[in-house]
Amino acid sequence: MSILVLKNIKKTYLLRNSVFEKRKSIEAVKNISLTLEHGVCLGIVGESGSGKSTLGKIILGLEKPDQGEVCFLGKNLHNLNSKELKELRQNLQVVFQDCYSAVNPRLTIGEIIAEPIRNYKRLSSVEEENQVQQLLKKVGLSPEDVHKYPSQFSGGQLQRINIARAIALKPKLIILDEAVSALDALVQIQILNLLAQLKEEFQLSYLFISHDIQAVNYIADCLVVMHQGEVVESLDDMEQLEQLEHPVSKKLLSSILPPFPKLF
Amino acid sequence: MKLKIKMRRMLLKHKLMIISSIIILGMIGLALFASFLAPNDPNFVDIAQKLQGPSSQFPLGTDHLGRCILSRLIFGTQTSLGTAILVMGLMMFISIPLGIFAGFIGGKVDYLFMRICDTLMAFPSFLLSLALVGILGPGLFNLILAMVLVQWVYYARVIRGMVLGVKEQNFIVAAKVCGTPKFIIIMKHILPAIISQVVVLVFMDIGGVILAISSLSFLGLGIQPPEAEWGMMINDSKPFFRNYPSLMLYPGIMIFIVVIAFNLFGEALKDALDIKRVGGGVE
Repeated sequence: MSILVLKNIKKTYLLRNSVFEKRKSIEAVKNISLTLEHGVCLGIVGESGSGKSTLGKIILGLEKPDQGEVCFLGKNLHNLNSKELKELRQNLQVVFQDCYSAVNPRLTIGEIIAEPIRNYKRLSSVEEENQVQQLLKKVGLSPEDVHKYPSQFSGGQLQRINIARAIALKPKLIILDEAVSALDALVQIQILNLLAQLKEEFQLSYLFISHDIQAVNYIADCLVVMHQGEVVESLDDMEQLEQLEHPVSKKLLSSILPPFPKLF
Repeated sequence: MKLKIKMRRMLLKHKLMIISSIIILGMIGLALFASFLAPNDPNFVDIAQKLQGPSSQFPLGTDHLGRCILSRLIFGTQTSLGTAILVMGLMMFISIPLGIFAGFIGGKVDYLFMRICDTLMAFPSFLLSLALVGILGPGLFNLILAMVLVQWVYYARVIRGMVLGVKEQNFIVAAKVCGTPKFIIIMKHILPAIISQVVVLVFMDIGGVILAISSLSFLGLGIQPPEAEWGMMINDSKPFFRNYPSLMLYPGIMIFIVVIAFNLFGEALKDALDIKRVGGGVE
């Protein structure tokens, strides 16, 4: 069974520029249909402004699409009452690009990671701390970091903390919204390896949103290319990456820096 | 060198903070222990002793009804400061929940709220309070009511702005995705993020509230005689200004000191609670 099915998703934003001019609108997402199978990592690539992040927000249920439906685990995400939605949310998590603003600077790491656990399970404080420490170990951090504050960590470590929070409830789908784009190349590889390892361990599905086709190639099983709110090309087998034909895909492909460039 | 200048500035700020907080605490002490500290009954009228100069019985002399000025100044602290704190507290009681509610919910609720704010803010606020007290009739209760009803809009709007700034942060979105209920998000993530700014706002503006209360009392709309209040004392001494300027000077100086102490304290607090430093655990 497909874990996520998008049917004809459409989202338009109204711009309120001036009182006198006619209202302008931007079609962020036009008529997108996607299917994501269980345990698969789907990469969504595209330039900035191509509607990738809007699509991510719609799948997370943070934005309501103007048209179409999002079926997650067979249920229409935007058609649920708050109790059902909360139940479904357990299986749907997110990791953002900006790891610094994704954690509340006033809370300790332990409190940050425990937040989803507290919302769904009633645990004693000892059990909770045990779980948090296990999660920290899973993402490659020391269990003693529980009482530290986010300002004491580097970007890569914070991204690990965000991942720990995302996997805390053992979700089925994690949306990685440019999750490695703000990190340096070495840390990117580490985080991608961590993500791949967690995917095996917890049988996760990923929706990997990125503009970096190299990172997508590293982790994704299949891929769609978005341009101006539409899917322009899709690929089921990453081996055929070089065969992408659409000009945008070509552009994204050509933007990869060669490892050994000829300088002269 | 640069560090030295920075440290000197820090020390200066600390000095300001210490001095202003001593003054504020002193004033609060005066207000709390007024009945022990005042040498005479502030409302005891003795026409035979009117308009006297300083003496051992009346350290700052007497007013036109023979009342001890020092005692009236001390008891005036009670009314002026107490009323100002009450007004500020009531305003926060209304504007913090409403501002957070409007900012967090957004959409049509927010739009409606903003239009109400715009309407109320289109009037000059002091004039509106004045008109309101005029309609309700003079008196302490009506003064407080008028000031709170008119000015809470401003604070609610500022707080709404703060909430809008925090709301867009990713950790709020992450909390939503984690399934955290809205009320918990507000209490755990939004309120702690804005509360230090709100405290600074309160201390920066309480001087203005004291001034407004004194002004309304000066116009005879606030606290009613024989209760002592600084603004009213200035009003009382109006006819005798030419021959006895000290009558007007003393309450004026008191107002000046309290207002400037609160303003300086607010400024120092603003620097001390710099948001970057509040956020992190260790520098």
